[in-house]
Order: sequence, then C-alpha cells, then structure tokens
Amino acid sequence: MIKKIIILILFFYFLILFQTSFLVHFNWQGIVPNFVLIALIFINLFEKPEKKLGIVAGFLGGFYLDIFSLSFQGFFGFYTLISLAISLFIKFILRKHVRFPVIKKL
Amino acid sequence: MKGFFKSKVSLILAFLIIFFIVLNFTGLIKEVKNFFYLISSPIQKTFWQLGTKTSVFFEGIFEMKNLKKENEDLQLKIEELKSENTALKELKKENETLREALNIGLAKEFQLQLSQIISKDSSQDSILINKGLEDGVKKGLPVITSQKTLLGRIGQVFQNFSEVILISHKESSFDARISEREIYGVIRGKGNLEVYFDLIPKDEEIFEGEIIVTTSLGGIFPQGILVGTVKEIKKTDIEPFQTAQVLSSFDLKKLDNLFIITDF
Repeated sequence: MIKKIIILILFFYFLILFQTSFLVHFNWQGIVPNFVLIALIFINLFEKPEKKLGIVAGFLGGFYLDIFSLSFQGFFGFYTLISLAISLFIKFILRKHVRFPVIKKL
Repeated sequence: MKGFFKSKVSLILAFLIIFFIVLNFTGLIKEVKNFFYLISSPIQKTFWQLGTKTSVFFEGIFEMKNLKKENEDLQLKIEELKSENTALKELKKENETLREALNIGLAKEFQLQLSQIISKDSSQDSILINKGLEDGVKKGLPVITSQKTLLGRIGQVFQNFSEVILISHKESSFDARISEREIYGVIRGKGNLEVYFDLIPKDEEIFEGEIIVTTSLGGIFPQGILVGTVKEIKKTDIEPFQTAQVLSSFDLKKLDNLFIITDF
C-alpha cells in the first residue's frame, strides 16, 4: 500500500509538471486538457469500490493541482476538495449502482 | 456509519481538516508553494524549452506549403520597416537634441529586469516566472516580452517566483488606443488567450490590421507599449459600442525571456 502511494505521489507530480510546462505548447484555441483530473477519474473508475487507493489518488491529484494553480486568493484547498468529492462520488456510485469490469491488479 | 467516528478514517480526515485550516489562516501557503516551485523549476524550464522546440517543429511540418509565401511577404515587410525605422531614428535624435535645448529632460528608458517563464496555470490565463520578492518584484508591475510587446502584470508574488496575469485573463482590463489616431477603448481579456478591444465609440471607423497601443490612463501600464492588431470588428445596432477581436502580439508557445518593468 505504501509503495503504491509513493508511486502515485511521483506519478501525479510529474504529470502536473508535464501538463503545466510541456503541454501548454500544444493547446487548441488556448485550452489544455487537465490530465491530472482525467487520470484521477480513471483511477477511481477502474478500481474496486472497496479499496481506498482511489481516494488517496483523489487527494494527491487535488493537492498538486492546488499547489500549481495561482490566484485563488485566500482559500487554498479548492482543487483538493473538488478532487476528493469527485473520487468519493465515483466510489459511491460504483459501489451501489454499477457493475464495471475492474482491473484486478489494482 | 456507527463505527465511523472511532475508525482510522475519521482520524485521518480530522487531521487533514486541521492541516488545511492551519495552512489557510497562516501565511504558510506561500512558503509551501514557493518550496514546490523551487524544486520543480529546473524540470519545468527544461519541459518548457522542449515544448517550444517540439511545437515549432510540428508547426513547420503542418505549415510547409505556406512557409515560402509567408517568407516572401515577410521579406518585403522587413524592407518597408527598415526604411521607416531609419526615418524614426532620425526623429528620435532630433527629439533628444530639442529636449536638451529646451531643458525638459530626456525621455526615460524603462528599467528592465530579465526573467524566464516556468509554467502556465491549468485553468486560467496566468503564468509563473522565476523572479520574486527577493529580486525586488512587486505586485502590479508590467511585464513585456523581449520584442517589447505587452504581456501582462504581476499578480501574486512569492519568495523566488511570481505570477503574471496575462492580458487575456478574464479579469484583466485596461485602457488602450489605436496607434496613430485618437480612438480610445478598453482591452478586455476573455480567457483562453483571447483579447478583445471593447467600448469603442460607434461613430469612429476602425480597420483590420490597425495597431493598438497602451495609454497611460488609469495608471496601469506605461504608455506606448504595443498590445496587438485589430482582427475582426463587430458592430451591431443594439450595442452602444463596437468591439474588435485583437490578435495579440505575443505567442505563448514561443515565449522565453520576459522583462519586468521595475521603475513604474
């Protein structure tokens, strides 16, 4: 579990650096897709709803988005709360209402 | 739900909530952000320069058939501008001698400070540069590109980095005018790197390709800095003013060195 969390920390770190510095040059009409958000939605979708790793992924992704985003004067945890809410919501819906093919290795 | 309050999860949750409250109400956020920017800035600078080179490479491939014609057009324009430039240099010398003769005092050149771009924010039009409080940067200073065209102004300042709010940011607006005429308007950003020239009086006639520069009204920017050229003009009978879309003179993909005007 700890090893997976460390992998997630590094993965999201390099993903946000990649997204804010490299992918900016490949924008379409000024828009760059937010890959950190997409990544954490997929991690939460393809994991068994009982496992807790998706929520940690949500927290980490949101935390990095917060650190590397500017001008939200005053309130720091904006993206963290949104990402946590998204991951909890996905887990809730998956647990109660959806049967989904899961990747067993996670 | 019964075992909830005794479980590990609630402890972690409580710790997180306290962590965020503490971070928000002390000044620690800026230190944390500064620390992260400090350790990531070498990687981000490399990524940025890699990105510039890659996008230029792909642009070359996609634009290949237009390149020859664009090249010829640009050569003609350069010759035209060279002769205009020599005439203007003569005028500048004359201006300086007259100012000295009349004892007015020479026009000041800007004090500039060099900086590099590190990253762009994922959800709004602002960028991070590598000069901060330690280098004397203050909030509100104008930032221009190495071609002396307008980029934006400084927003939040951290210890070693600061944020530049681009002119295309949703909340950015300042006065500007058409370069050789007395037509004034307001430049407003719309997000997504789009800039509009708004609140132009309806009875004035403006044309595509005209150059827009800043005025010193409002004290936001020094006057005479190039903003962009007029692209598309919108004039309806309902609106009391006309609006024009502006082709801004900076290209985010090709930015590298920026100058902060420090003596404003």
